[in-house]
Amino acid sequence: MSAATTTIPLLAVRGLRAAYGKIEALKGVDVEINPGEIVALIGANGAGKSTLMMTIFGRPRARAGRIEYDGRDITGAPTHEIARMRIAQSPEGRRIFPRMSVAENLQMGADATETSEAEREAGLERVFALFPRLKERIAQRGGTLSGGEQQMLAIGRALMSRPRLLMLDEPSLGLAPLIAKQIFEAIRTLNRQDGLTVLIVEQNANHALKLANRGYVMVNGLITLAGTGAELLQRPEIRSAYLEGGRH
Amino acid sequence: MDYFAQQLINGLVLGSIYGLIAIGYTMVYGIVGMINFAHGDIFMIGGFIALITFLILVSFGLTAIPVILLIVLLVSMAITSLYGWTIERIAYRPLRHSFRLAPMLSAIGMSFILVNFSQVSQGARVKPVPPIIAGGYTLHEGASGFAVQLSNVQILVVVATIVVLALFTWLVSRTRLGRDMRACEQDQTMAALLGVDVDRTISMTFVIGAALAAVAGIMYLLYYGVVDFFMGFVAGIKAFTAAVLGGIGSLPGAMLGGLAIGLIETFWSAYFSVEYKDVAAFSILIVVLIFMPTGLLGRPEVEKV
Repeated sequence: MSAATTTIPLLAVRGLRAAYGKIEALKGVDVEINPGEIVALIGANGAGKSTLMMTIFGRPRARAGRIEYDGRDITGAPTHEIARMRIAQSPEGRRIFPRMSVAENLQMGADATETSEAEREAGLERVFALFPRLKERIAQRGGTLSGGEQQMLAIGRALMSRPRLLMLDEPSLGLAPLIAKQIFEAIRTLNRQDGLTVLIVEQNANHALKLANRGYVMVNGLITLAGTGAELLQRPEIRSAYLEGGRH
Repeated sequence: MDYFAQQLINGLVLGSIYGLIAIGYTMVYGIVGMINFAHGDIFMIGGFIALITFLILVSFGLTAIPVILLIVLLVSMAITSLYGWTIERIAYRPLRHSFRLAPMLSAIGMSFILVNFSQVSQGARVKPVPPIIAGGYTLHEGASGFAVQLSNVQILVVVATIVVLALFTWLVSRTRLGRDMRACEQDQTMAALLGVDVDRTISMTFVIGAALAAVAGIMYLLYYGVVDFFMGFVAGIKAFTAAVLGGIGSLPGAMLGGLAIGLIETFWSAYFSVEYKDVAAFSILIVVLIFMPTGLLGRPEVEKV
């Protein structure tokens, strides 16, 4: 990863603080993601992983600190404008539009950025190649899909916006191991073939760190450890960090 | 039988007007979860603007009725939409993240402002217009001498409603704006994460609702030949009832509810008593809500209401 450290990071988060009401969820977070990397963010429930993803999109707004995307300060930018800069998110809880068809959900993703008709077609083909199940369900309403199918749709929808940075919140949550494996495989393929930069939040630290180039461990709104995926997997404190980190 | 057919025609015409107003209530409820109590008065404003535009055009010596109607339609829709947009901007948007009742109270206040503004600027008297569209057809002449009449105005109201509804349905189901509106209705945060400008989409919802109310206002003016500053209140309550009856949040439900209220009112007036027509309409609402709490076409909503 020595080459990556000399390039400008695609996303740089510095000293980020955010809160829900009086509860401070992020207490000064620093994270960097370089182009072409897969970065894993691990930590216990309530550590602030999902909040970090949402704060990058301005929901909630950062109380302090700075978020830079592609060298540009996006800290105060409106959520929809950030989305149009080709950062896509498959958020916590998937958030499929339940009363829209699979096709319309995917179209919502394509609408997020300037997408030509040809790019939209290519995007659909790519999504269907990764998740053939979605093609079978194309006319079905989002709310009627199974959990695994919704997860595929959430990732597919994010991909339709042709993102440069893809943020995935718990893509394996609640999925059968086989489908989870399929989804991790898909992420690896996107990264290798298309050079897609990925930030992945996972409770399944073992899985995520094996997939990632680098990882961060988050405890109680702070980054407590950082390193390459392999390094972190060998750290003895890693187990306690993500298993017991939420407690205080 | 002839009498029944006549009432059916009358009821459908009245129901069309209610339905068009009801769509505005149901759209706004779907997307921001509030009852826009000023919407009935937006309908009244639409009627007044139509009247003023009509008088201006006539005073310029314009006589071609289709041209006049087209200009009245466009001007009234445009200015009424501006009212809708402005009201959302100044009275609702600042309160959007406040407690739930705040925008509702603001809406009631806005309703008073519109009513009083119209009363002061236009006077309290009922404003009549001469019949703009005359004539009609006699569909059937019964032995008793009762004839089923279908006036040209009635045809215009129903045809215009169908055209407007077709356009509106296309907009909501097939266009980018419609998709964005539905996305905001289902999950505003996710819509924003997908690049949808939620504020703008909500503004457009108010604009479209107001434009439909303007169409209803014009039809009311053509059909009844009068407007007054207070007409938005009763029509608004009826249309709101229609929206709830059809299932608030459901667009086909609003139209269905509008037709139902229009028909109930007309038939009750025709066969029982005119004085109790509102009692009949609201009683049916209560009965329907007891057995179908989400209305005729509404879906069960756990979170809202």
